[in-house]
Amino acid sequence: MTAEQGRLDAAREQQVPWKKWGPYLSERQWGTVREDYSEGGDAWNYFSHDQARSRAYRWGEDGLAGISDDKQRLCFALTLWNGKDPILKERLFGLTNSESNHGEDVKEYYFYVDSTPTHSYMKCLYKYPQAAYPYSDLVETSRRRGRQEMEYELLDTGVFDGDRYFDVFVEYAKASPEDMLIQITVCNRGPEAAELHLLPTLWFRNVWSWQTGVEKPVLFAAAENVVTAEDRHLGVRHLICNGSPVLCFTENETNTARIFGVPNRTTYVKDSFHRYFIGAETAAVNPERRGTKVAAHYRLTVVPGGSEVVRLRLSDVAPTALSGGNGKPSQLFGSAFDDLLQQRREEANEFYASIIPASLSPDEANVMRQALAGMMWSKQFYHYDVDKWLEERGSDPFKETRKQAPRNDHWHHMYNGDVISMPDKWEYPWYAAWDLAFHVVALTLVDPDFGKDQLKLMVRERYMHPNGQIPAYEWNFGDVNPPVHAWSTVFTYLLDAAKKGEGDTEWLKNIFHKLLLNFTWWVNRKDRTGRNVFEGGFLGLDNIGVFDRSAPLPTGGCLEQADGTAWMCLFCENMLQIANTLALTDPDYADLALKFVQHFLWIASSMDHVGGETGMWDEEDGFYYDVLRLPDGRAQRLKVRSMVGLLPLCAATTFDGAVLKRYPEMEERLQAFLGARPEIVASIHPPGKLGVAGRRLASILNESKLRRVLAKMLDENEFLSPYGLRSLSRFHAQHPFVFHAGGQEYRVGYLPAESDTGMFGGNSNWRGPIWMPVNALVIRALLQYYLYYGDDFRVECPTGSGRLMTLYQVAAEISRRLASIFLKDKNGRRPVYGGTCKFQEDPYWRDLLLFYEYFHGDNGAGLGASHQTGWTGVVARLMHLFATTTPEQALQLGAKAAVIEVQNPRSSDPVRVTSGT
Amino acid sequence: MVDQENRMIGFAEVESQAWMIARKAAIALFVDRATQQWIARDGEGQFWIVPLVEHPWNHRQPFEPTEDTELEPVPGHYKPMIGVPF
Repeated sequence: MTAEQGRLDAAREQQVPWKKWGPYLSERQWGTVREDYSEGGDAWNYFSHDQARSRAYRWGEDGLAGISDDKQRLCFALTLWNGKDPILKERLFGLTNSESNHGEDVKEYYFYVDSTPTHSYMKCLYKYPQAAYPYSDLVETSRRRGRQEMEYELLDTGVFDGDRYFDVFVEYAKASPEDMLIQITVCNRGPEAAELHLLPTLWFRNVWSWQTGVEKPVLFAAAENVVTAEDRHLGVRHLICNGSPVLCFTENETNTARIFGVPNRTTYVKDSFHRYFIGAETAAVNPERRGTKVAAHYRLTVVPGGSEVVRLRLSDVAPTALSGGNGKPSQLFGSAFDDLLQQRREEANEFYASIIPASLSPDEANVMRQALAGMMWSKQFYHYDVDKWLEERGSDPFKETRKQAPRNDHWHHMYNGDVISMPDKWEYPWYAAWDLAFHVVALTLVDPDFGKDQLKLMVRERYMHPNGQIPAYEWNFGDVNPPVHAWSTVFTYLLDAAKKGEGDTEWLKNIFHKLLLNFTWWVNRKDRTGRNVFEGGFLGLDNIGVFDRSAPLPTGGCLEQADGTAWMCLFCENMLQIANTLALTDPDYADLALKFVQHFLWIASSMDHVGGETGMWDEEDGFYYDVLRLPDGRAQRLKVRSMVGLLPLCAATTFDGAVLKRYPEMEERLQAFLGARPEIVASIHPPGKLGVAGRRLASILNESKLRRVLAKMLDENEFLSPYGLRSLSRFHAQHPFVFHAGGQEYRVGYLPAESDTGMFGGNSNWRGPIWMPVNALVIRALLQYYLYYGDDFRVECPTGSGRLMTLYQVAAEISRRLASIFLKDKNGRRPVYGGTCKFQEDPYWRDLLLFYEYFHGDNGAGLGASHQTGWTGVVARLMHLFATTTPEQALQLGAKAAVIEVQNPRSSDPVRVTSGT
Repeated sequence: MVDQENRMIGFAEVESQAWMIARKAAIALFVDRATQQWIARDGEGQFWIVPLVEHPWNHRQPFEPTEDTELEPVPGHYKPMIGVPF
């Protein structure tokens, strides 16, 4: 067992708080919904980046490469000043949604280099220019650019020309759960010596100003280089600084004079350090050396090509006790510090060596490790008491006088105050429920306990609506996300069972019961006509449709969604998997299993509307489409070949029949149901037909339809790109879909890069690019089909190539293409970085990886949010899967093959299964 | 700013007739940038200047907004900081 695994076990079994401290700061707290108290809900402009240095946050904190405890009472992060910027660099800068030509975008370069799951070791890199940061240039130039142009990036401004920048590395190493070593290494990559003001900053999140009777915590100088932090809840902590920094104190309080135009209540306020260091206002900091925010000022001159190191320690142990009674910094920061830091680095290496398959190349291993580092660094303390927020903005639903809130008016049951995996801590510093389901698939590679907790959290009463809806995201909790929670639950349960020998049935039951509420919400809210055909709005696929699928249709009528209906089929399958699992030991769940079999059949059969109506399957094209049903009763398919039409393929799951064997009466009831309604299964895969190893397959697509859809999906002129499956077929490059309604033309053409409209904020595009999560679902489905059809089912891949592959091989091929986005190609270039020379050629950049939100449909270049680990982290799971599985093992073990590792699968040795059988 | 508040209050008054009143009406907080003062409006619609002294609510002074007065709403969570009761 590795040392890190030992810490994970101790955290679970003995409640040792190894995860109490972690990278839980947001990268952006300004511009969020929960900090928005504007009348109209203009969150981006209400609390701007410019205000952020002066205005205390209400709900959370942000900071550069920082950490906090898991309730974010005490925070630590970097502050930097190069002597030229107009403000200190305390937080990442970026453009708001309206400032940028392609939606909000961070304009910084930072990298999540490493992290263990307990955060016993973490490493982050921030690249800080030595010239004045070009705030105005970024805003003004971006404002002038249109949607047809590329985004204006920080490298484009020239501020990194001549390599005049600092690489600022921060490493954290835990000596114990509450004792953290901090090492900051500043490297000068430029040709001349350069000065940097390094200001490691410690502060308390302000909770005392917003409530009466809350005791205010305090930071004070206990010695020349020691800050003591006292908080009623957290207790006492000490920040010990190596060397002789000057300690500067202020308060984490709003500068009301600057923000509101009224005199400050306190002399010392949140932005005092800006005034002290840049404005040379010596009175701006507290001479009594106490407050709620402190910075240790190190003034460094770094020679060209050289580096300077600063060390600190944040601990619950007093300095004298840490050093064995001596208290001398040399004891705290000398060889003992070196040794412990190195030990944690080696333990991180050891841990990841146990996770990353040895068969992967060094470059592949680097991709996996940085993807997982990104998943770890994207954990954030998310705090939002919606009832309190509504009350504070005068929208309390129970007050005599209230005004309508611009959003989340009906979610006042929610109290969120937890560490949650974020999609991207700058661009999306709030949880998104369906993203989270994918995150867990990656997170469970390193921390299954955290993954389980995340899934359980979303269905707790503090999150899930009383009516059963799972919250979507803070911009609109009531929006509708695809129901993938059950799928992630099944996967996580199987993984847990494989690792421990038996599954966590209590956890599974708890979530299943809540998912029953969620399933019923879907059935009652999104099946408008009660015919098992589902709507749902844009359902996570933003601009993929002909119209905005979340808005009233310009034609009137309704849209019967192929993706919405397919999602519900998959939801049924996953609920059936869970019910089956529980039924093996508790007969009460057998009835529910039968319910979900029948419900799956009802919904799957509805997609074709056998009986003469216009259904979603188009026999001519061999593909699925949304159906527009007009008020006068006419209906037509909207023939856009997109991921919407591939999702029915994703609703496929195999079953081993164990429950039917255990409860023969269930088989009788099922046969009676099928016998009475043969039309239900006329156009879908026959549920009673046995496949390899006697498996049954729940699938919308029968074999004929499967082959036809695969022919398009694996056609390089359609969906199959060199880097994965496109969200829209390339067919529409030459053949855009055009629809006319109300004198307007609605056009869907292939658009492989950024969006060219402002639909959904203009910062995402599902009309061509490659998106990791849906690719992962397709791969899952292909493996399910393989478990059923086996090696005898082969298709051309790519279509027209003459190369026949099994569905396992097709899945592996798509996974290979996805991973190749990040790997060096034969020319040593990484497709993810496109034509950006710095990232492709500079040794200080080229092996640092960014995991974007989506990828160019033709060349794999990264697009959208740049730190989407986040669901792009799923690439780590895919790489792991195909390095630890073989087709033979898959056919032998069934679904468990995804979570049981084969040692050396690329060797010629017989298959040896390592655990969980 | 004030007119918008009053319009919203009128709407809420109609709705509230059908509701049980479970909590007291809220005090709303504003700033008057022209005079650099905190202004509060109580549940009866009365405006008050809130001074920056100890026990400020006890020392509040009546405030009569004029046609030229521009009151900027401040989020309710600043009330404890200013010493205004919720």
